[in-house]
Amino acid sequence: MAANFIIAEPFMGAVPVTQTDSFDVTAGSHLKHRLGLQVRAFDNQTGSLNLGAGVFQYCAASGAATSAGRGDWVQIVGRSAIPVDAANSESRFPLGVAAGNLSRSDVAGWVQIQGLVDYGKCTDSAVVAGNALYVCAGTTGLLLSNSVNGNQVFGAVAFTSASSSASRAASYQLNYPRMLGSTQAF
Amino acid sequence: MAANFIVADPIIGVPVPVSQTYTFNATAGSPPPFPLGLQVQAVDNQSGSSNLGAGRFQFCQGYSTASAVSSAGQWVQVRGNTAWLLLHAQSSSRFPVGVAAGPLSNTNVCGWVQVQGMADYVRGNGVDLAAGNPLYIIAATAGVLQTVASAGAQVFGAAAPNSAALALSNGSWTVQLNYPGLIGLSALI
Repeated sequence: MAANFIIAEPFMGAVPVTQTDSFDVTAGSHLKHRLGLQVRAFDNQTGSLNLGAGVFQYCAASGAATSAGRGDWVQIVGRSAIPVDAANSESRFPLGVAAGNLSRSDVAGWVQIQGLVDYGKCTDSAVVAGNALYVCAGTTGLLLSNSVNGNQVFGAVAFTSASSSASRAASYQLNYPRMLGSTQAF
Repeated sequence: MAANFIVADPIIGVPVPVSQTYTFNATAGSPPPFPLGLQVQAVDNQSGSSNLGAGRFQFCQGYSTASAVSSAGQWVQVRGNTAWLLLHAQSSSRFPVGVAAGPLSNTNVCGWVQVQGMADYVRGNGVDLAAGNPLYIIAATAGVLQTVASAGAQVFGAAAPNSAALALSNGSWTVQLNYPGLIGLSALI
């Protein structure tokens, strides 16, 4: 990612949000932070591309079969981050964008839930700035601008438009997103 | 505003009134005092039963000329890190929405936008406001919402806790904010 978000809460050290932590509670290696903790982070990159500040939530990964890579859209179910899937679109769990590789259930890391994202993923279809976003029916972890009945996300927009040749990279603006659950296409 | 929200967040350090705005010029070495997009907690310092408790505010840059915020209490759409005066013409977009706590009068001005909690300095439109009902962007006046339905212009995540009848210039409508945004429904619900 171009963004270089570093956590800037007084009760924590300066942790990069890309960092993930392996843990094994039974073997005595506990989580570094409380699951569900929400923190603010600042983008440390210089120049006009600086994204400002954002909010991130500490989550456990779900499992190898449902692992989330950096930039994937995830659903926060309890304290676990699971890549969004069209099959989950009827649920109303919060959404976010994985800031690190949440690869296995013994890994925890950060999910962005507010602010600007320049490392998000989209489909090969064009994304239109400001328009509503929908969970992709065909591929987990991706959103798109093309309307999909019942899959609309509330609280997230593309900040800038991206063409279909943008290598699935998109910039989003997050406002504590969640599934809207409306079956209308609007 | 009657409320006297003061930022009370260790990430900021000194207490800052949310009505304060700042002029900046990044190229001349005077950048914004806080990172744009930063959300902070603030508490209402007014005494008595009107105290609104705590709320959350986001640091934003103003927008230019016709779409700039002229006074506190106007509704804005937060596009990127910039607060645009909320217009009916923008109702099809899905950017977050909030209430300006100070006059974000130009692109070289930054300040706070309330996005969560109670706000008692919001501008009404001269039409009776119904408590708990959905809010809609007014077609005729920028930066103002109403409870009279307007197809496609509904805001989700904001409601008036009390009914009121207010003039446009009143600026004392009380609204409860919960990270609002435009929902984009074309139907009247």
